[in-house]
Amino acid sequence: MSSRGHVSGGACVLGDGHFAVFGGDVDFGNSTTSSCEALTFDGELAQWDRLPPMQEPRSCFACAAIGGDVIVTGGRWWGPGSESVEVYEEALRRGRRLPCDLPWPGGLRFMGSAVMR
Amino acid sequence: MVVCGGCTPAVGGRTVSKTSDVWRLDLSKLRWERMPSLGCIRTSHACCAVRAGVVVLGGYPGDVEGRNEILEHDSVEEEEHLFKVLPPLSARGVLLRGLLTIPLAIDESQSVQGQVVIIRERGGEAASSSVVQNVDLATGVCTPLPPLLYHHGISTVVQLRAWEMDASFGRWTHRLHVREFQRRASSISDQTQTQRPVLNGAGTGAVRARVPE
Repeated sequence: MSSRGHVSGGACVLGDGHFAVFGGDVDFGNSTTSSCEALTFDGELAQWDRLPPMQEPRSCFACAAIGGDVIVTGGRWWGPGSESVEVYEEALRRGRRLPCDLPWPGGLRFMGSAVMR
Repeated sequence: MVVCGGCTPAVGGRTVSKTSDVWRLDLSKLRWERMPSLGCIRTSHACCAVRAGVVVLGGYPGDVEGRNEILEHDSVEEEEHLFKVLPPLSARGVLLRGLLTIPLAIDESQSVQGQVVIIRERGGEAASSSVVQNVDLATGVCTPLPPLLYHHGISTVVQLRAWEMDASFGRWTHRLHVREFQRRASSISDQTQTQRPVLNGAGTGAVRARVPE
């Protein structure tokens, strides 16, 4: 498991009730890099497990759990921005890019996001 | 899923472009649809779903603390459903610029427009602690709540099972984080049971959507 903390990542509650974190910036002292790491936490076992990494590193992005899927889009504080949208499908334990990039060429970050019922 | 405000990255000399745009991703069609824009350009704001709408609090640029907004309905076609300005918050400094503020909508039915619990770093010399406030959206009245039991810089907060355990994820290692969880999980309900409202955290949605292959 990674020994470095992440900032500006995304998080949500998966369909199984577990806490999940995605991406974020990792400080290596003289440089900062966005991560594509994804982890889930089992509160009963007090244990972190890896999820398939995101297709792209991201920080300062939008993240939402919707009906067994986790949608992430945009972000990245350092380096080029991301305009892609990815879904992590919990039942299949797989992530994939969706063919619907953000309508902002070059990407978007520091945005707000919510799931409307 | 609704995305609002934000800015483009500054790469290769390109100018950062901030926006008030609001877009909704239709997961059945895999298509972004434009929604009514925010009342002003915003980045790094607090945003969450409240009842059937979206509330937006604080953020950059400038003096937006008094320009909190709410979109009350899912309104792609209905132009009359614009973002409405909410009353200013009764407590100054609750939404400090430059400090990440995380909103969690409260599951309640008595207030006119709903309530939100906001959590942020305290900032300045007291950066090792947190600010937690309950905000009534209809009146702007802020009520202080107990700070997080442990605080090392907040990255994100979600609600896991009702209010028995919540979790923050910040500037500490994953290993430390696990210990943090264990301590918080065993103590938070005892210490704050009578003070904490029921939270519906970001990401706990029961919305059903099928993402096409």
